[in-house]
Amino acid sequence: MNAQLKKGVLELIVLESVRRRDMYGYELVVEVSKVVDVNEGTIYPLLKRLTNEHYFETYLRESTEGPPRKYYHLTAAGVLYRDSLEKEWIQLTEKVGGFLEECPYG
Amino acid sequence: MDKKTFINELRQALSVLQEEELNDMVSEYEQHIDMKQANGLTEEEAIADFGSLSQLTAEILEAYHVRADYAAVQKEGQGICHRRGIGAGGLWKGGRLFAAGWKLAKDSAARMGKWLWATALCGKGAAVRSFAWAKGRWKKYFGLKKHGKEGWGDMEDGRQGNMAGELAASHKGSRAGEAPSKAGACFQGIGKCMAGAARLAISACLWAARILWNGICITFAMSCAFAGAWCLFALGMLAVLLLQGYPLAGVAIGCGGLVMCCFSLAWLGLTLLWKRERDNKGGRQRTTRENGQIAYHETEEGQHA
Repeated sequence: MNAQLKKGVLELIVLESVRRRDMYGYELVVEVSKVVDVNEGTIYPLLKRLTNEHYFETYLRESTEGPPRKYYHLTAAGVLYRDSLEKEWIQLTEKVGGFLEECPYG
Repeated sequence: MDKKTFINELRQALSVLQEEELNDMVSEYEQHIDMKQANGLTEEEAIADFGSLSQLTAEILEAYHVRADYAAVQKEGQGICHRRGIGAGGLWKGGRLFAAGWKLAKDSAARMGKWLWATALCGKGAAVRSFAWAKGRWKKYFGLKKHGKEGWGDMEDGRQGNMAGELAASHKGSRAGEAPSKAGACFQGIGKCMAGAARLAISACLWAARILWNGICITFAMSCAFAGAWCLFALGMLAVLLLQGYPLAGVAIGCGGLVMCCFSLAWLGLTLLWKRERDNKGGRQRTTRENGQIAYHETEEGQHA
């Protein structure tokens, strides 16, 4: 898939994943990789940016398999932002899909 | 590339970040590499999945709104400073000059504040003395004291007696003696009515003026208090947004200043209210000293009571 297209929807996929349940970084990377194949390292900068913009909250939870893990939780502002992204995505896909399905000869 | 090299290069590339943020980001990648290794991958394979390190650090810095070429720009800036002869020493000198200037400004502001306060006190004292003098003159000329009423009656009796004597000397018989007493009483009555009407008119004017002035002051004070309450509400909302990370510190400070200004003006309006004189009824007389202080003295009536 085109890298720019993947980059465009990555934010929406990340927000939706965290909306379903709180996740830590590696778990989120695995979840997103099931939908689109992206560079794993670029997920963390995206998570940091969304946290700095107050769409995510973070907290530590003890783990039996190693050091405490930092979990990401979607805030109220994040829910609103995710809804607006979903709306834009639906509008975009409808318009692009309708444009592609138009018959060029009328 | 092994894990230690990757982490060191990552730290170096992100050195512009705060220590806490840098450690947080590095720990995320360390944990990711550890989990990949737990799933059977080697360090090199786990790190290779991250892609280009330069692209990775550029994206991380972009998340903090920092330029990816920050290090190169900083080096170039230091070169310019050295070329212009500013250097680190110049920056230190500038900092000391700024500190000295700031101290001077603070001292000047403190001295000006003290001078303004002293001027305000002098002005207040002068205004109080002027008002007390004007009030005294007003009462004296328009006979608002009890002593003035009695003097007026005494004067009328004196005139009556003088008139009776003169008329008795110039005219003979009881008829001549009765006419002057009746005329004197008539004049006395008219005089008393006129004095009473004048006192009533002046009291009414003073009452109306007091009501009008107090109305203006109260309206002004209430308006300022209402505006202050609104500004306080806005300050609360700005504080909430500020805690959420929005850059509204300057606006919040300005709003706080507005709150203090509005409530100060409301207090000023309340202090300017024109209150009625009540202390003379209790046998005490209120006077204003030269330094503007108010003192209470017992009158003769209070002493005899």
